[in-house]
Amino acid sequence: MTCLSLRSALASAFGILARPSGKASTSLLQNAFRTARHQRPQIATAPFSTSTPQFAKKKKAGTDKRITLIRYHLHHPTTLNPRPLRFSRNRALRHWTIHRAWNLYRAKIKRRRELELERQYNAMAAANEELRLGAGDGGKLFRKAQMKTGTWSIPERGGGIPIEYARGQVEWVGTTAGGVGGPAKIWDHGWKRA
Amino acid sequence: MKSSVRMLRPAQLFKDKSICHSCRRELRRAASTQAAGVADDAPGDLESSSFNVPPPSQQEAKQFDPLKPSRQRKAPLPSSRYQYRSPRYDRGPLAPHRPPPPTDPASRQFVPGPFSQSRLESTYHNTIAPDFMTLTYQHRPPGFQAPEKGPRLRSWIGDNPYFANRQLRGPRGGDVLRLLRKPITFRNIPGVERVTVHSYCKDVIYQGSGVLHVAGMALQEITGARVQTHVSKHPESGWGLQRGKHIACTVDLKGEQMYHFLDKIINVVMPRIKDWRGIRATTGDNSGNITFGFEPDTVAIFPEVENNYDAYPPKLIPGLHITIHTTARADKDARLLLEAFGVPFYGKIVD
Repeated sequence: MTCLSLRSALASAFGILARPSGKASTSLLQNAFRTARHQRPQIATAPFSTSTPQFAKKKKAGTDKRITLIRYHLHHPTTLNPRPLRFSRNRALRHWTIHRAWNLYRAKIKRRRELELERQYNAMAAANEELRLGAGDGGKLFRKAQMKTGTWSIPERGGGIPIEYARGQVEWVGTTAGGVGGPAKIWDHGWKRA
Repeated sequence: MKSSVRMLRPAQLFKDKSICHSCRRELRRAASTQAAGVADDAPGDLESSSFNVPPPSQQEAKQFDPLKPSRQRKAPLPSSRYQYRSPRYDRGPLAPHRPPPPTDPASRQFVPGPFSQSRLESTYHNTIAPDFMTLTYQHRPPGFQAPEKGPRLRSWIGDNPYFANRQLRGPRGGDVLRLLRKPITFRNIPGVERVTVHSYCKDVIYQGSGVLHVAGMALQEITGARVQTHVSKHPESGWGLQRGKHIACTVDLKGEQMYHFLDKIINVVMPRIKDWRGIRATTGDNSGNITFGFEPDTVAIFPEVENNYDAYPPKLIPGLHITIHTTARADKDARLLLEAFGVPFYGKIVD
C-alpha cells in the first residue's frame, strides 16, 4: 500500500500519467515499483469505492446463523453415540462388585418401602374394622368415614387435593419469621456469637 | 503322568501323513479315552497337598529364580485389557455372540448414573404414595367377596350353527376394551412411569428442516436427553404433508431425568405462565395417561431456553405436547396423582 501511494505521489510530482504497464518509461525506479505492484494485483484492480462490496450487493435470504450453529452442534460427532467404555480386568470386577452392591441396596430400599406401605394399609384396615364394629354407634361413623364424595374432583370444584399440599421435601425449611405467609427467613443475618 | 500325556498328544500323532483317515480317527479316539482316564485320576492327585511335602532345602530355595518361567516364555501373555468387540445388535438367544447386558459399561446401552435423587421422587415415596393410599382407601370387611361380574366379552348365543366356536363379541359400547380398575391397595398405588415430550413441526413443510433442528435442540436443552425424529407415515394433502418427511421429534424420559423434568415443569415453569388456568381436567386417554400442551411462549419460559434465548431464532421456538404415562388404570387416579404433585387442573370432570 505504501509503495502504491509513494508511486502515485512521485508520479504526480513528476507529471507522469499513472499507467499499469511500464512501456513508456523504463527507469530503474519504475521497474522496482512494477515488480512491487505485480505482487499485489488485487489492489490495483480494486473498485473506486472503499466500502466492502458485500454491502452494496442485494442480499439473498440466507440461513440464520443460529440455525447453522444448532445444526453444527446437533450433528457434531461428539454428540453422537459415544463408544463403549472398556475396563481393564480389575476395573471391570470392581465395577461389577459396585453394581451388585448398588442393586442390593436398591432392592432393600424398595422392599422396605413396600413393607411400610403394607403395614400402614393393615393398620388402616384394622382401624376401620374397629370403627365398623366396636364404636357402638351401629356403624354410623364408619359409613361417614367411607364416603368419598369429591375425592377425585379438583380444587376448583371444591374437592381433590389442594395445591398447597404439593411441596417438595427439603432437608431444611425456611422459617417464616414474618408470620404465616410472610417472607421466609432462612438465614439469620443478625446473629452474633454470644 | 505328565510324560504319558505328552506322548499321547494328538497333534504329534496326527502329523504323520502316512496314516489313513480311519486309522487316524481310531488313534484320536484312543488318545481321548486315555486323556479321560488321566482326568479320572485327577481327584486323587488333588488330595495330596503341598503342605504334606517337606519344604525345599536352603540350596534349592536360593537357586530358585521366580522370573525364569516368564523369561522362558516365547509369546507374551494376553493383555489384561478385554479386546473383544461386542456385536451391535442382539440377535436373540440362539445367536453365537450376544452383546453384554446394559448394566455392563462395555454395552452400547449403558447409561451411567443415577447421579442425583430428585426431590419429587423422594417426596413421592415418602409422602404422596402413603397419602394416596389413605385417600382412596375402600374398606372391605374380612371375608368379603365382591359379587361376580359377567364376562367382559360376551359370547354369541343363538340357534345359528355358525355361532359355535365363533370369536367373542366385541366390547360393549364401542370398539375399545378399557382397562380394569381395581381398588387401590398398597400394591398398586399409581406412580409416574415415563414422560414423553413431543413436538410436531408443521412449518418443516414450507420452511425447511431448520424448524425441526431448532425444535430438537430446544427439546434436548429442556429435557437433557437425545431427541428422536419421526417420519410422517401418511400423506395429508390438506396440510401439504408428504409421506416420508421428517416432521416431528420426541424425547422419552425415564427415571432420574423424568423426575427432574417433572419437577422443573411443576415448580418452575407452570407458576410463571401468564393467564393460565391449568390443565383441562378432561384430558387423558382413559387408561391413566395424561397429555397437555405448552405454547411456544411457555417453552421460552423454561430456564434453559430463557438463559440462552439468543441462541434460538425466536419464531422457531417450538410448542410441546407432554404426555405423562402413569401406572394408574383410570384417568381419575392419574389426575389425583398429578394434583398431589402440584399440577393445577380446571374445567369439568367427565369420569
